[in-house]
Amino acid sequence: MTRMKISIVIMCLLIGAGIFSGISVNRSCGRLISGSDEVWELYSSGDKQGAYLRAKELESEWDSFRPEASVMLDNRKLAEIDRLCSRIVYLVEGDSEELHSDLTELCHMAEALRAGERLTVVSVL
Amino acid sequence: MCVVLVRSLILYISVIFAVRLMGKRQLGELQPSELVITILVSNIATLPIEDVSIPLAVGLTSILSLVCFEVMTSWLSLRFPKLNRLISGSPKIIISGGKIDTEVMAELRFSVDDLMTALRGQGVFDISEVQFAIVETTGSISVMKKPGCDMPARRDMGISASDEDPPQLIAADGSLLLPAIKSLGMNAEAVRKIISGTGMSVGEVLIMTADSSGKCYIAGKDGGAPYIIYGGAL
Repeated sequence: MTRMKISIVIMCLLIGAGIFSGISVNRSCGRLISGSDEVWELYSSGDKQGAYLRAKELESEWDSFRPEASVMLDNRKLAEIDRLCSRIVYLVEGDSEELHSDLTELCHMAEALRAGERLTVVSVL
Repeated sequence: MCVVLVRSLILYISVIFAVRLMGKRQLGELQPSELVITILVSNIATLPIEDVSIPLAVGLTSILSLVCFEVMTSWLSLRFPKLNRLISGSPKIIISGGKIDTEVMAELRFSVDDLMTALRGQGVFDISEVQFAIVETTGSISVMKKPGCDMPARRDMGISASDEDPPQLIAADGSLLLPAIKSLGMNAEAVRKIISGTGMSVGEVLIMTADSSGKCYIAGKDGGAPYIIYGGAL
């Protein structure tokens, strides 16, 4: 019976950790997606300084979430988002044509990360 | 490299904890579900060690959740015998009354070689000696020989014997094992006195066993001849 109780406690902790992980990833990826949209809106409306500052803010938000994410998620998935977040700041600064495609790619990667942590039939299978 | 070392240590401790949580049944013969869990846990444990990009939490979650499922399943199997039969199956009688059941052999996909190998594993080299054989859910075979071919028991020969528990280890590696001493109704002082009667001290004792009749076996660390003491006297 002791083993059964220990198992139940462990299962509850694991379920709690899983729910926390899902919520945390969902929130951070949501912020990343909405932040990418804001950067593009500011840039396309001509406010390049605003876009640059927002991009820097986006990068630092991701950097603060990164250590927590590396405990829960595969580092290979996170490395791509790391690269894109840091690149976007320089693309805004350099007025690059690749900004839009990189922002779109960032949104897709964040959405894929979020979808992977959502408990659906597709993500399980 | 240090990261791999620490991850290996953490996973090693986790796997030991997991095996202990599953209980002593794991260390004996395995039921199908237990075999599955053992294989899965050992394979999963290697993944975070080999690949440092996989978070340790992912490996630990998999291992712990599998083990917990196994413990819960085995608890439920105890409460619901039908579930136990569904997961582990039921034993099958392969030889009954000395006759081999070929239908059961076909059902179990047991060839003649498999049957003979299993019987030899039970110390039976002559199949005509077998009265009853049953294939357990673990895949092992339990055999009952015909009475005429089996070793006679004391009862068969009319020899009486008292029911006694086997000797218990009461001192090991220079230390007294107080719970075992207490369970035999002895006390530590009496044990020390017995040991000193052999010319040794407690610290010099490698193994000491005693049974309920007072017979003691003492072997010293020096590798000399052991002492066998009856009723506390040399």
